Amino acid sequence: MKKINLGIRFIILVTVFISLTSGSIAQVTLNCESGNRGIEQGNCWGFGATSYSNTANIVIDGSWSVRTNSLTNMSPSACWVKTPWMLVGSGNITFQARLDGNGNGAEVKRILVAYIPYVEGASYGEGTPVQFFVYDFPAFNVSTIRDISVPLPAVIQNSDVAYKFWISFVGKGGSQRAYADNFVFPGTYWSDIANSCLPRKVIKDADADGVSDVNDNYPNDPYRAYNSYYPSQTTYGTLAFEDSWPNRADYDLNDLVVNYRFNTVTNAKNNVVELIGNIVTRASGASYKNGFGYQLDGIAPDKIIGVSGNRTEGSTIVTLQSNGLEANQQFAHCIVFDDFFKIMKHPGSGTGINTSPGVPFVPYDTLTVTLKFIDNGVLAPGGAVPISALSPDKLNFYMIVNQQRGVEVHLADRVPTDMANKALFGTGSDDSDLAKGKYYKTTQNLPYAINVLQGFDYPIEKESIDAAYLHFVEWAYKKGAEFPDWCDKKPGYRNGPKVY
Amino acid sequence: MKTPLFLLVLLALAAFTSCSKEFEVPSTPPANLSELRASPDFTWNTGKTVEIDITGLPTPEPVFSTLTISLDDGSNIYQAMHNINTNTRLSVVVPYISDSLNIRFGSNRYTLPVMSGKVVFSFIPVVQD
Repeated sequence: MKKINLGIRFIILVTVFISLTSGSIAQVTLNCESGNRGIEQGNCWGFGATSYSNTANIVIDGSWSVRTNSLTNMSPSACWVKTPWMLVGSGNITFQARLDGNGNGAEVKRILVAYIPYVEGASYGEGTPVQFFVYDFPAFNVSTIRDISVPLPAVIQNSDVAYKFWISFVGKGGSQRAYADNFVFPGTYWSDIANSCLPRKVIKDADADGVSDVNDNYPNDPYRAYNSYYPSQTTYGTLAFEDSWPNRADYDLNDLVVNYRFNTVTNAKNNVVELIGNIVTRASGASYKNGFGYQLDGIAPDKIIGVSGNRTEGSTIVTLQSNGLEANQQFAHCIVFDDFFKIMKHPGSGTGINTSPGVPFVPYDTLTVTLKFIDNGVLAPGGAVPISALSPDKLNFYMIVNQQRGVEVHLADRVPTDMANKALFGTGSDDSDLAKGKYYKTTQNLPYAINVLQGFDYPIEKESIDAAYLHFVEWAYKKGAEFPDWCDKKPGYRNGPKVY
Repeated sequence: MKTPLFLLVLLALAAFTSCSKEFEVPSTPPANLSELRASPDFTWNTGKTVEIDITGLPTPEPVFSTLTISLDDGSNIYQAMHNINTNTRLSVVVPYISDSLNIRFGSNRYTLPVMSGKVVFSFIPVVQD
């Protein structure tokens, strides 16, 4: 039977057979044909001073068998194979074994079989082993394969609690090893690979969505299961823009400053239910009425049911479709706000908001913008979006400059949207080369916006970022290899008065 | 004799000029931003995309549990239901300075180094015979 299955090696390693015709007959088996003991260990088998061998003419069956170290120790802990946790059935344990090597000096070569009860809190959950079977090799003849059959003790048969079986190979005298193969244990595999190989337990799942309560961020909501954060659950990233594009920038990078944190909410099928963005408006060192939005690169607009929490009311530059996304776009497009000054009011003095020292500080505002992909289990017309299709790098942030819809400023090398005025590329200081995938960079390859994942304090008005952050230029010059922490509050890293 | 030599010099100069369009990192660090000529492939991003390659564990039947990837501060950046016997490739964006990621499958936890923008992990334990 073993040779028939060589093509699907691992599938037959630990197999549960259920026969519908003769009642329920379950077996846990080990035939070593994976050739990799690690696979069995991953499936909760245990091995002590035993390995897999494919030595020709010595393996018992197929290509691989268990091989022990030399049997020169009578302790059952010397050389052994241990099953995963099982619900024991009835019948006999069976396996094959033979000796290998010169039998000179051999006195005893023996196999011990024990069961191990599960004890909560014990190391690996293992209670004290109970030995119930001994097999002595009747001779030290290496050519004879022994078929060993072990009756199960009545006390553990058909039990509803978990046991392991422990097969030990012991001996005294000589240096012979043992080979063993084709282990068959009556019963049902009962280890939980996902829980340190401990016995399976009844999983609490209040909303019955298939995600255990302990892992479910929404244990009472069958339509939601997980939160995945970007950049993190506890921090915000910062986006800082120059609004002079395509002309030369002054690089104070404060013409629009927002913090962001996104939570991708998914269900038990790993489909995106919502994308929740917390957008914190911080500063606008400009008189321009700048807007802000993001495109989900590669995600069609019909994948989204609706948008809430954004601020585009009364907009004259943005046309929304029925689901709240911007119309006439190939990809899903959320305009978070079309005019910064709708969100934060100018304090009455200084240029813009929160960029000039000595000018009254305007408290930040936070918009919670939600894109709904699935509504109470009902998909959008375009179907489901798996989380694998919505990784954070799909977020293509941009600024809309001063109510000119076609004037977008994206992060370096991020594609413009369908609404961008392509005629502006290559004008002014912009050196975009669409054929080469170069966007929103100058001839010096400088960007017009940056994304600081760990967040940062932007420069004050008219102070270039390199004057505020003393290692910024070195960071860029070395392509990020040096001073990746250029924006940290470390001594010698920044010129404090030039940082807002 | 002088004329051909002059032409050679001109040709060499022309060849040099045509090659100079390729980007070269200036040998001396720029003093400020206006002197900076950055590499065309520099992303200007303080985050980095990390590719996570996960090798599944062959099992006789699917084993599902929650796969979580988190940062050092414990923040979950990826969570999904996962079958341990499938090979998976994920992409996450982490702060540039992150040099390790935590992976949890059910109650099993692993801390893995980020090396050259990659995390390589196998659910098959390594054994030495």
